[in-house]
Amino acid sequence: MNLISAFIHRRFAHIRHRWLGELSLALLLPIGIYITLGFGLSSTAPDIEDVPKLAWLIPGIVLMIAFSGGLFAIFHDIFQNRGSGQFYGSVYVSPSTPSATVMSLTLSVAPEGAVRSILAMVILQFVLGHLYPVGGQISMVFLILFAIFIGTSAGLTLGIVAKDAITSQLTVLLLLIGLGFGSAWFVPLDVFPESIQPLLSVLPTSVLGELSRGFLIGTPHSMVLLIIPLGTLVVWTVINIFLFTRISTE
Amino acid sequence: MEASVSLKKVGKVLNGRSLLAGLSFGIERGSIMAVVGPNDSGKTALLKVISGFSKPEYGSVFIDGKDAQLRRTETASMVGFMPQEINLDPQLSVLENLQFHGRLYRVPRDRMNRRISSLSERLDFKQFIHEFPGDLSSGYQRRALLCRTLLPDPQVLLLEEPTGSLDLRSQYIVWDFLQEMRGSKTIVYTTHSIREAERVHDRIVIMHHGHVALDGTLDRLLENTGELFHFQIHFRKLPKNLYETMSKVTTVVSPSQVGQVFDFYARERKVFFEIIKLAMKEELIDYSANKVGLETLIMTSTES
Repeated sequence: MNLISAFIHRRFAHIRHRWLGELSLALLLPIGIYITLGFGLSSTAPDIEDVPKLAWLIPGIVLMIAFSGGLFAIFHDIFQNRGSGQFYGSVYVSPSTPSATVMSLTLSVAPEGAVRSILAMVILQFVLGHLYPVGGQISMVFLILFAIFIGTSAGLTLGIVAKDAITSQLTVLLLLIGLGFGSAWFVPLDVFPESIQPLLSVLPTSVLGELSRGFLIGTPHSMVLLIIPLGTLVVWTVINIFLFTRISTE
Repeated sequence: MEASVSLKKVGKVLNGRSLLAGLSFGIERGSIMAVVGPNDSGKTALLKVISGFSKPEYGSVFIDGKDAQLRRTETASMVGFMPQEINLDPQLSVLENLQFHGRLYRVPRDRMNRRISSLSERLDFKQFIHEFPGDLSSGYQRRALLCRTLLPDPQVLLLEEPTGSLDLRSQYIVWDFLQEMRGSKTIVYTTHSIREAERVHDRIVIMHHGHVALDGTLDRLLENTGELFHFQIHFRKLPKNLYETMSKVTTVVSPSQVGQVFDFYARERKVFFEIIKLAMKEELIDYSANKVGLETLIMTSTES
């Protein structure tokens, strides 16, 4: 618990020092994405009875904000501070084990990511003028946490394996765009060729998209599918612990 | 005295290059050990291996009798490592950096706050504690780094160039403080400052190519050299045959030619006059004659 608390305090301190930028981003990013994607992609959103067309898009935007928040926070932190002469050098020689460090790092982003994503959900409902069911919104928080953890796992892996800043930032950008569209967060899966639809539908991020729409706008969904993001997280965490061990010892 | 840190045949290889070559020695509890040597001699590698940051390819490190690899969590909490680089989090203030480190080492909050207050006062940087590391001079950054290392109150302190980039007054502040810990903490530090190593040590280890070239107290090391003197005679032009003649004098030790300078050692001062007699026909520019000190010891023991 001490280690988790240490990393959470550190994240809060980072945010406190640049609170204006963080707050502006938290308030403007959802609106920015909504305007950009809402105008461009509203025609691709399926028609659902008693629900505005753009209400389909909002869960995807919220998941993207959760995912990218986790990814960017951890990726930059690890990439910039991972060397032996950098900040994480002092973490490597501490009594904390790599597994505890990886899990604490992952969990440390959850509070800020959750606040950011919930705020985005509230703002977007206000902008759209449509209120989702309260029960669905509470369940959505659960999926937001999954999206954050998948994002932090991706950020951790990329932060560790990245060779240089330009290539890694390009990779992050492609990953965000690829997942945003390929996971049916912004467009329905049926816009893709039929041959790749089954593959895309079992992506952990696609499952989160499907479940979030099930919770918020009542589209058909299966809770059993939750095993996919859960399993992905477990496997990815183990991989990240292994990778972190590799960089923490010369 | 009981060993606080023990190395048993510790070897470290990086990119096919041997950084540490089967080192075996113990470091007495509560002692101060200065590690000196030229660049690339293995000083940093030694500290990194003891701190647990670097894994030896072979051999074992024991901290307080516990294997540092097998019982890493236990041994890591006993060791404080201060690297040469300023590895504070640049996005946190100095205080936040210290608090993070305190939590990392599970220091109870009350104790942590007391120690931060007393250490920052003792190391004379309390007025800068709310600043970001990047806004401080390198001297204050190093003091903050030392404070961070001391915060969990480790038994063993591994300090890489602890007074590098500090002004003279700050060096005294740091060393006065560290010397107060003599007897209670084991301090191992690397330095390029001969003066510092001569002044603050219970033991000096001179490293070369990953080996321990010399090991002992300064007096003992100098004792082993006997009454050795170091001479240098600077000629306008040093002829080859004269160099060979002077080198063949049986009382001349380790002769060498550096440019137009004849460099040699001898057990007695009078050898210098014998050499001068031989060299009288040539134009002499300058000379120096010194009793061998740590600097010469390092130079001679680390000659390739």
